Amino acid sequence: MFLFRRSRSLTISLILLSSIIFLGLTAGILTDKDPLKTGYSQGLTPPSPQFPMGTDQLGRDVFSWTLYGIRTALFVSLVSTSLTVLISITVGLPAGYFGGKLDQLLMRVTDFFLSIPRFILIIFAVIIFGPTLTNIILILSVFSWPTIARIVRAEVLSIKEREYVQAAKVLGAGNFDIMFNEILPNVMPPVLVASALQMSDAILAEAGLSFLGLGDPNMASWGRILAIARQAIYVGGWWTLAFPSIFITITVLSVNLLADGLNDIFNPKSIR
Amino acid sequence: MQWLKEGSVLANMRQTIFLITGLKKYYMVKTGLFSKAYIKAVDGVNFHIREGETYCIVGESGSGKTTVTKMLLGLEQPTEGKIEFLGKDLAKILSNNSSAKEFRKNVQAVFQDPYSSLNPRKTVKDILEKPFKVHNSVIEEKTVVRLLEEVGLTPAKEFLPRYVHQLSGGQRQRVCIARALALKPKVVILDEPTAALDVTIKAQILNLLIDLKEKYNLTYVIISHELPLLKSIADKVSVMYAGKVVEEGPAERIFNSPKHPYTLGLLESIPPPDPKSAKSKTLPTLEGEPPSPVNPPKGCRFHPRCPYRFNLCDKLEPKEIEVFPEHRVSCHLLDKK
Repeated sequence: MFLFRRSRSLTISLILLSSIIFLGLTAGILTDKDPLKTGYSQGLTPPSPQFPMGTDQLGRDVFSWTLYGIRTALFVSLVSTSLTVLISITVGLPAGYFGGKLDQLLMRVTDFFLSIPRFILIIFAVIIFGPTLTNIILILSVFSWPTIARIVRAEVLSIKEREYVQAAKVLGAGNFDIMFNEILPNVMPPVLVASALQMSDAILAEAGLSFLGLGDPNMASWGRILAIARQAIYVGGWWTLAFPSIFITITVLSVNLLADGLNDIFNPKSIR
Repeated sequence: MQWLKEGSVLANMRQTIFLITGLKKYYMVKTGLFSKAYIKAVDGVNFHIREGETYCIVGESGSGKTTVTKMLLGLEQPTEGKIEFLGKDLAKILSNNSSAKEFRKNVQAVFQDPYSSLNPRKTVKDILEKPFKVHNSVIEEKTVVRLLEEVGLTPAKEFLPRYVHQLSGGQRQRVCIARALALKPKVVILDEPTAALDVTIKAQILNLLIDLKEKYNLTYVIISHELPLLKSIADKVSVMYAGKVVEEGPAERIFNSPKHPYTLGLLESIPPPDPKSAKSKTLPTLEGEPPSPVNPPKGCRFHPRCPYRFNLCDKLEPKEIEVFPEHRVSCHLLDKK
């Protein structure tokens, strides 16, 4: 409760996110239609009690597509972001803590990844390895860790000079003990903020890939229905475009607000 | 009074815990794209610390006193010179895992800033259990509670689940002291243990330190620039200036008959308790600032600020002279006589 009072963005984002997650989890109850199945209707039909968000030109139910799309978006972004954070800690923590040649090496690799246009590379990799869910998740994480790794390293550089780290050394604690028990918990706050932003990035990247036809064909993705809507809007099928877009926007917005809220909590001085 | 003499002989025979010879620490700094310079933080320091002693190192900021303690703790490698711990080379002790652990058990530290020397994400219980975890010994809540009681944090059970930000400065410093004592060390190195505390708390912490020392027969190495506080606790004092020890001796000698002009200056710059006294109005100060550690002055490093300097001071580095048993001074003024 006290956390909510401290940050309005956190309150709003948690309300939005939990409703979105609720809709995603109960998709199977809220609709009895398979999102991928065609032929529920003859061509485009506008929203009606039977199809709350209408159908597309192939007779797919937009409502169930949008709800199942929540699952895809959140699953891809959560898993890939967790992997991203894992990789960035594995790279950033030793780089910052040990410094020297190891730091040089790891940071040059990081720079390399940062210097290439990310989305183009992701498209490339998906084309090469094939558009399956696992591949998309792995590819998104492999090309997203450098920013967070840099944040981890910078934080470690400042925290390893604190006196409590010196005190742990004086007690005789080993490097791993110090890195994971003394430094890592103090590195996490800014990393969590950055990873929330990374999550909204991943949602958009997955939607972008699906829009380009590079999503997993067996998953209902918001990006893919937008690609379908591109043709439908010419004949007045606005509902195919509107509902999924609204969901993408609200989800990304609430994840960004979550990042903001986390920042408010970790840096209480930055409020107002 | 035969027994008294024997007592003093015994004092000299006490075990030497740290023996420091020719200790130097230079840090490299880049001054340009291709040029570099060395910061001479510690530049040739000799002293020894005996068992049961309270050894104080005083000096201005930047005199190298903190660097000396970091080397004593094995947190920094000396550039040159040697530190012996109980007769063994510290570098060798630290290169072997089991002897390093033994050294860690024996030598503990309390740092200057109680606000940053405790991990903000841990509770008092976590912090005090850490020493036992590191040394794989059994942790009982009893032991941790006793530690807290030892440093005057009672009722101890109330403090265990607290986070650092729920403690006051004095309480934090007590937790730091408890952590340092957990492994029953021989030596505790205290880097300005009272600098960040309120005046009333300072006295409390100092008294606590004195009590604990007697109880556990500890050896203290105290770094400070607060001479009046040290007066009540020090056995031996060494005065550092620009990376060198300019005067070292038994505390009563240093406080009552200082020989080096710098020591004199430090002692005189303590404001007297009565603000109306004549001395308060003309409080003597040391002119100028400590020299740059990159380019220390030639000859005696103190000469640009020394009120008694003469023609020899900027040319020749003064030798160490023993003016009294155990009381050594590096100053040309004493040479002249």
